[in-house]
Amino acid sequence: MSTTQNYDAIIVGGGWAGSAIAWKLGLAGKKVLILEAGIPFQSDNREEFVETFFLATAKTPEAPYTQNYNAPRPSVLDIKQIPNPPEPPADCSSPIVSIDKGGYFIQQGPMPFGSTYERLAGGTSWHWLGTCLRLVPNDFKLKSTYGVGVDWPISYNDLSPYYDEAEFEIGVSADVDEQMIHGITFSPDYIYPMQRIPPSILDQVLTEGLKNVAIDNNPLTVTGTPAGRNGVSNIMNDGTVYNNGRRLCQGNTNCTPICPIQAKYDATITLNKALQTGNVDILYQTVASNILIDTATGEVTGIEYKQYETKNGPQTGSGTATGSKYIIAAHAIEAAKLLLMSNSQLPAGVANTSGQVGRNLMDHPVNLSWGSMPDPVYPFRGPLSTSGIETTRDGSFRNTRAAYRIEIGNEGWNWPAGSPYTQLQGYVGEQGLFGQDLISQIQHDFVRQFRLGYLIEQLPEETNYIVPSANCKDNLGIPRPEIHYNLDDYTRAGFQAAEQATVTIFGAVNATPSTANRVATGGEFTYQNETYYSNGAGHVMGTHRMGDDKTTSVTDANMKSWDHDNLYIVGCGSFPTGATANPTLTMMALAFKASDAIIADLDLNA
Amino acid sequence: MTLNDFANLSVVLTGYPLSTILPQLDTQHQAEEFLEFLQTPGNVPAGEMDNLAAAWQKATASGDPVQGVKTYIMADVTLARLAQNIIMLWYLGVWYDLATPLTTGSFAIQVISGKAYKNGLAWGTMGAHPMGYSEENFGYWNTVPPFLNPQPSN
Amino acid sequence: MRKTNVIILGAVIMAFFVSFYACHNPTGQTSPKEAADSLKTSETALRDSLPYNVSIAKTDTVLDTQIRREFDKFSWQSFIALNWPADSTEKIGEHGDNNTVWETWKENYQVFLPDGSKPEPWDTAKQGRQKLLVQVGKTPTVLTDVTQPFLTGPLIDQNGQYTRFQIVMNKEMFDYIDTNTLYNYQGQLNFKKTIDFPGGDNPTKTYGAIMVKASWKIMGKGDDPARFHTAKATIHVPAIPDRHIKDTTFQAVVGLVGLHIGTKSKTNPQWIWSTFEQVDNCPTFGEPDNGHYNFYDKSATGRKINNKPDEPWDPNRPGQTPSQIVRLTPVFSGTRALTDSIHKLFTAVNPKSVWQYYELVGTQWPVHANQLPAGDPFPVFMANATLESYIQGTVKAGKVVYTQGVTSSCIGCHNGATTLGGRTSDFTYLLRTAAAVKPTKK
Repeated sequence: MSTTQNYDAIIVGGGWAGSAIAWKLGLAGKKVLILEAGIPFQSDNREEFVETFFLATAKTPEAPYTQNYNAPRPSVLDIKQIPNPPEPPADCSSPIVSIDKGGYFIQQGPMPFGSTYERLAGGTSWHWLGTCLRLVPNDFKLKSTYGVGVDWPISYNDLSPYYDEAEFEIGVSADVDEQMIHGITFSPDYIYPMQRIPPSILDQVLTEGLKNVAIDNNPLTVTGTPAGRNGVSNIMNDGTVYNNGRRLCQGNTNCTPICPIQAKYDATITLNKALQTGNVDILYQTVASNILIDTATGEVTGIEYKQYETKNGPQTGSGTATGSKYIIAAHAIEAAKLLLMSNSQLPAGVANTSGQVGRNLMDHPVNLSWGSMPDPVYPFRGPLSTSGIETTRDGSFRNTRAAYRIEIGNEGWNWPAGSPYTQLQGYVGEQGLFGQDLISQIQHDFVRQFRLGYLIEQLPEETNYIVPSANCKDNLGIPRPEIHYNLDDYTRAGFQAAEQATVTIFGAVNATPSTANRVATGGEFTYQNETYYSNGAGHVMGTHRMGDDKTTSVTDANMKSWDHDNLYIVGCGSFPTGATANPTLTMMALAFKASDAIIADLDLNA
Repeated sequence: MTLNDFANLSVVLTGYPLSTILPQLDTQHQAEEFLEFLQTPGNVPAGEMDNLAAAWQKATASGDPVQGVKTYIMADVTLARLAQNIIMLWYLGVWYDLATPLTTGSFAIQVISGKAYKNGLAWGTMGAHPMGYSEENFGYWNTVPPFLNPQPSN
Repeated sequence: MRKTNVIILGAVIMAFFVSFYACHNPTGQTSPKEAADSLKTSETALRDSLPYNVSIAKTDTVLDTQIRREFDKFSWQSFIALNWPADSTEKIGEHGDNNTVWETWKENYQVFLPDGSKPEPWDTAKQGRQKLLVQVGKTPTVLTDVTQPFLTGPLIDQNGQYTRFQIVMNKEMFDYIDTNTLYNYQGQLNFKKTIDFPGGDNPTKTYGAIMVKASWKIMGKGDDPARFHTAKATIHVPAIPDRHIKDTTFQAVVGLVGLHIGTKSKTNPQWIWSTFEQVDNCPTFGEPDNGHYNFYDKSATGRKINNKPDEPWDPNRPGQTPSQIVRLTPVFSGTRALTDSIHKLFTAVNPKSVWQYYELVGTQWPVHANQLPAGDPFPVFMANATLESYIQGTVKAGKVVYTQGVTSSCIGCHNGATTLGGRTSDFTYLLRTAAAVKPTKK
């Protein structure tokens, strides 16, 4: 056992939020230690990950990043329907076998939780899509506007300057005028760092075809999706040309699972900047295992950790990290798990007087619709998604059913139906096509493929929760997450509305829908006698929500624990409601807000 | 099977010209990699490659290699199955279990190499590029591809 | 003796060609006898004339050996001409070392000015007067940045000193940028044509655009100045307050450790990429590592090879751990043989010629220039140990693994280069270092 030097701040997690806060604190001259559970950020990461991706037979979001049994992560390949009652997990006595067989999560249903994440330096940013939408103002006040869910303890205007900051750090390509929907406003003279990413041919076809189409009085306007990928530089307000030194997007159509040229932002960029301040240290392969509390004062006094040298090897070290402030930035599921499993001093776990830690687990369950356009739209070209329909994200319908946004996919039927592999297997294996016949078939079919993804809102519910598994541990003996999850009727009605929208949209552009060869399912369910298929969006939210009432929330609006004065809990777990926007940008804005509070706190105590 | 025979058979199976399959100035040596894989014991049942070579000889002797492949290879269940796998190698760089039929949703056993993935013909055939490997420039997706490979007029 | 050698070689090449498809050797290694090839007398003379373009004879049909050899010869001819004494009648290396032609070319910071204004006219006398080295990263965002592709960081020598980088261009390239106002943001956004630098051409005897990227080490302990082309330089580290990096300027003798020459030619629109290194840079993977290296220490077994240095990266920080660099791809045997024969020419002029300590690492060119966007480059992967130190490939289970599209390839990467306006910039990232002209206040 070793005890670290006394830092100003200990951060658990060198992913997105952890890197952002480390950088801000480091810039402010604070001494920071990051405990990163996964492998380090090194020069050969990208070469190795891309090669692993190339060689993977299933090109999942996790494909480039091999399983680490000492800091395991879930895989979409492990997500399946859950029988009632759920089967006990296999071989829990042998962590490696058990994780290989059944996956990292202990899924208790009734529906499977379909989303995944990564545990390594840079976190899940390695495989994020790059979408940088702001929430709309009503997303912050769902309860007071529509009578459902809860309100956030902050408003859009409170977060707006932090959005500016996050967009600059990420390097977002977007157009201000286009983004001003549903009351979104921008700071005076605001300019995104780069121009909007050019639309794909599919985007153009849908823009034209949906010109005069509306749903629930919302016109189906196709807009460029703000993207954390490099486009044409703007001149910023200080007269300088924005330039982050990385390449422009070459349309590798591979944002998820990995951009081979780092045209897409990932958190290793900010992590690197944090380390460059000279004030930030990082311990890799160091898994936080217990949060120590001074029960008299309620202050956190240290974070115990376990270390290892190889991904499937034994524990090789342990220690306690100590500092003035503690920041849990470990991903919504891992953060909640760590708080709950730190129960030797506080039986309900750390920061959990409200009983809300681990609860209100949310995602943006995705409804996929796919089909063929009458004319070629040339998929598999460009970023995975360049445009979407955002007008459907707000409206009075939110009284009764979930809102959604529509992501327009540039990768044909790759996500919903395993294209091009699945279809080619059929052409070659079943139809016996070869030579020119095969070429003609491909050139007719594939160039017409397209898909839409509806990211559907989910309300916070206590019955959707994660707890540390009592019996199943990882290779370091740390509990694996046990997940209880379902979709309520509000969200299910959102699926129904999405399918109705598909009928409208496909009709308007004369597209032929397909349901063949469905490969991706994050669980199927019935609603009003129709069957629907849900997919994980990877947007894991709500497990340590902020609020302005300490009896119903885990942290205050600065993401400080109500229970422990020197503990902050950050990340998408802070979201009181999930709304419909991909959460990353909001998470980073919140991380910057928390950074200001932490720095102010440290300065006050200094 | 000789490299030349394998390449010429691959031309018929893929529909791509020899200048793609076995270019005179070959930076990729893709045909060699595939042939070496096929001839590595354990990947293809013993004797099958010889049978394929013999069938190819007959197919070319007929003077119409496409018809010959239909008659001598595709009409034979075992050889057709092997030919299907060779097509999938060329189109996607992946290898399937020869003992089971290739059907929609079959799971691949392996990707032969990163190079084989990158060189998969499926992508260029539809005017695109392998996911994760683009030689195009910023914004190319905004306009239609200049041509589909191989050019239809050929 | 030499003549006999050539004859034997010819026979071997013929045999190799005949058996090419029957028993092709995918690694493209030539036999020792082939490797012993030397140049024909007509090609051997050291000349100050820069080649316009590569010449491929009709009889050159084998990619790995014959065609590669022509490109390698082009690389060496370019190297010799570019390192020829500027404005002098002397021969290269006649006095051991000499000032060079390329060092009188325009530096990137003389072309892309901080206020986006028009650069000074071409004037080699002025340009070559002093050497100011500001870059500690190969690919600057702004000229002073230390970022590298994939944040791979600076290269630190055995004395804990940062390697410095310099980028210059020839008059043809400069004129194109100057005439088309590509030296600032506004000019690049307004430029609606396809950027197309002039390409070198033999029949019309025209030069193409050439850019030279050089890496320099600060000469210090353990370095033998007789083995380097050296120069007196002003080293400037601009302040980065956020990172506590202080503005520092000092004079130092620097030694050339790496040299990229990129030549645009009519028949090679993806450019010809020639890369040279000082011979003491680093050992080759799988080969003996005895001797003193600029960027490798045999006794430092704990250091991960080809990995970024520890943060923070600050050129002024004393006592930083040196980079541990290993060349992952051995130099092709035929290229080595050619280099050996050139070295003999250098030592014939002067046994103490510093130029004998520079080797050609390789030449990359587009094999099918018009068929694919990147032109099907060969060799598929190529790296200079001082310029692409950290993306040479990965080592897995004792073997080098190359990743398509990620592992260093000059053409593969530069193919993605754009202007600030997002247009393809004809294989140079330099245009992205341009600043904007400040709008005049009304």
